[in-house]
Amino acid sequence: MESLSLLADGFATALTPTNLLFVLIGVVLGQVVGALPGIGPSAGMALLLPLTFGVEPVSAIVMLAGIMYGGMYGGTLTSVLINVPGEAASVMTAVDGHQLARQGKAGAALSISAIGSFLAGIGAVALLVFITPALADLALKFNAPEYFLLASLGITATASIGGGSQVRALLAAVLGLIVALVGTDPMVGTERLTFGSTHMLEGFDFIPVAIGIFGIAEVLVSLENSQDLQPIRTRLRDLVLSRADWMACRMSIVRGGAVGMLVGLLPGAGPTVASLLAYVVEKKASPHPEKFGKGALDGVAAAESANNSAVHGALVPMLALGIPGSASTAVLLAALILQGIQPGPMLMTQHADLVWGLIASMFIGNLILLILNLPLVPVFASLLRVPYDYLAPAILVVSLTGAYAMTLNIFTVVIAIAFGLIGYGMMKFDIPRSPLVLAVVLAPLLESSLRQSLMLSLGSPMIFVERPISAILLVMVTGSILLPIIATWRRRRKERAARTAGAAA
Amino acid sequence: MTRLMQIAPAIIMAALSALVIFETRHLSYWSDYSPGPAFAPWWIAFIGLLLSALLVFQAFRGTDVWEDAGTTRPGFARAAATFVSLLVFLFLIPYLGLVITSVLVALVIMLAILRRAIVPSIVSALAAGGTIYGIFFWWLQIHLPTGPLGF
Repeated sequence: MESLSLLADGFATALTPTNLLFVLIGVVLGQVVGALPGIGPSAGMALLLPLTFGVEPVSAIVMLAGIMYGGMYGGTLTSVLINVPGEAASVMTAVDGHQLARQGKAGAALSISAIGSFLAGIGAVALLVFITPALADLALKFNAPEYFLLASLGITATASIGGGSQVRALLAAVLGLIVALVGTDPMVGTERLTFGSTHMLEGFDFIPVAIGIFGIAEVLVSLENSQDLQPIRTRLRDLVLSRADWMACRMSIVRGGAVGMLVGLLPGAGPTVASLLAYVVEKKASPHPEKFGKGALDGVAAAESANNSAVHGALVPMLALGIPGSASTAVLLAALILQGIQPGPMLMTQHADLVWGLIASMFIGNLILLILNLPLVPVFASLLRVPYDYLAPAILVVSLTGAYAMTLNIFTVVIAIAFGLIGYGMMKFDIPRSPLVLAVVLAPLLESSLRQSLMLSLGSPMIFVERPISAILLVMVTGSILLPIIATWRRRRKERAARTAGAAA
Repeated sequence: MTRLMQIAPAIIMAALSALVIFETRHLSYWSDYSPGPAFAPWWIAFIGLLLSALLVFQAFRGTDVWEDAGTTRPGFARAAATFVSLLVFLFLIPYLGLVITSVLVALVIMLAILRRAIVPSIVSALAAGGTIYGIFFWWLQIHLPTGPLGF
């Protein structure tokens, strides 16, 4: 009940004209960012973060969060209308959404996406209201060993669950940890890996790193394959769902939302994994699995509900523990730090107005997105007719100006450009970028809590096993590394057995 | 995809890990009662070396999952030229100021690199300059480098 009373206070904060305006700006920007192929919510948040300088913390955070979940709605547009996912979490939507659009049902696909995202988003925020305070209470019992293992879990889970090569993802995480080592030692203040440069004494700021790794790198890769895309036209009346469509999709939204919320709570999994998993679950549950891949409306509903629900779910570990579970929440966490707010379990008590204002703003933001999405889809779709080549240079120069404005130091721009090159290289070598960014954010906590733990135990690593919560976390960290290895090994063994059987036949 | 390209990330990471160890060799690994400033760098570098070796091993066994980005030569040239224009952006800021440099660099990218039409390119570049002026100079009142025209 206390949560509900705090939520009511949150609504009082979120409903002030200024904060309402920032929620609106955030969700509209998120919608646009999500609709631009190549710019995902993380990149959009990093690029637009400088717009929040000088803005009140609550307004800044609700705007950035608006970009985060607004991006999920925007990504649907490009997936359905031009078969190009605006961001990775919309890949599964593109599979069936574009098929539906080619069959003249683009309106139904966009409509069920908006409604599904809204319902799943609201459901996820409602759960967030109750889960977050409970988790924050538990986290008050945490000490250095638990924090070290929690930060480790954030990194290993991101590297393991994200898909693709686990070794490459862990390599990216190690690169992020090396980047974070630059500067001065957090405990004794010794200069470390600065190569004698005074610019590097304070280490690398997270924001120029994120602007480079996500924003600049994505724009450079997008410019490689620039082409003018012709979106399929949609009319307002096509957006009206038939009763049959709604009946076919209502349980898909529930299943997708539940899968998304669960996946969102896991550190590292994120909306992309959520939408993929929800799509697979839906295909199994569907009475017509043969339609999947050829234009299944329930597949679109499940995937879109899941990615929006996961985005909200990922906020739970960030708000309760100060541990970001995804790249977007890492940017949000950096924004909090930039506003002078220390994330962690005390955040909910020390900055209750901010946390509950943010949660309330998400109810409002989702409602605004639903209202915007249904009647204004044709308007947003018209944005897709502007060739990306005219937008990309503007995105680059505005984001670099933002990087400069952060510190008023040209070295920050140099860092952003350098990390743009690193991010570009990572994309070319198929190395995921999220583990790097999360490692940069989590490295200070990881190192200081590891050293504090070993100081407490006089150098004995048994401290991580002797404490019950840390022992559980240690099992989770080990599991997050070993389970994907075992799964790969079993898959390969099956493939080998099938090949041998085929050869024998 | 050549094997060298496949193991390039491993080579870079191994070199970086070696550099970390070399650059922190003078720092203490352990003080009297707690880990020293070299503790984390050495462990991270060790894990980096281990992962590099694992990636090379996987590449030679053919078990490394690799999604070829499929870069074309003209595409790569466009990205490289855009990157070079960002370096020029850095160089010009102290002389022309941020707004004028931004407009010029955006124009160069659109006209010379992406071969776009003149009028929409000018409109887009001016819009970028206007956005920077409106948000950073006028709204946030941030002291950005100014050029000969005072902004």
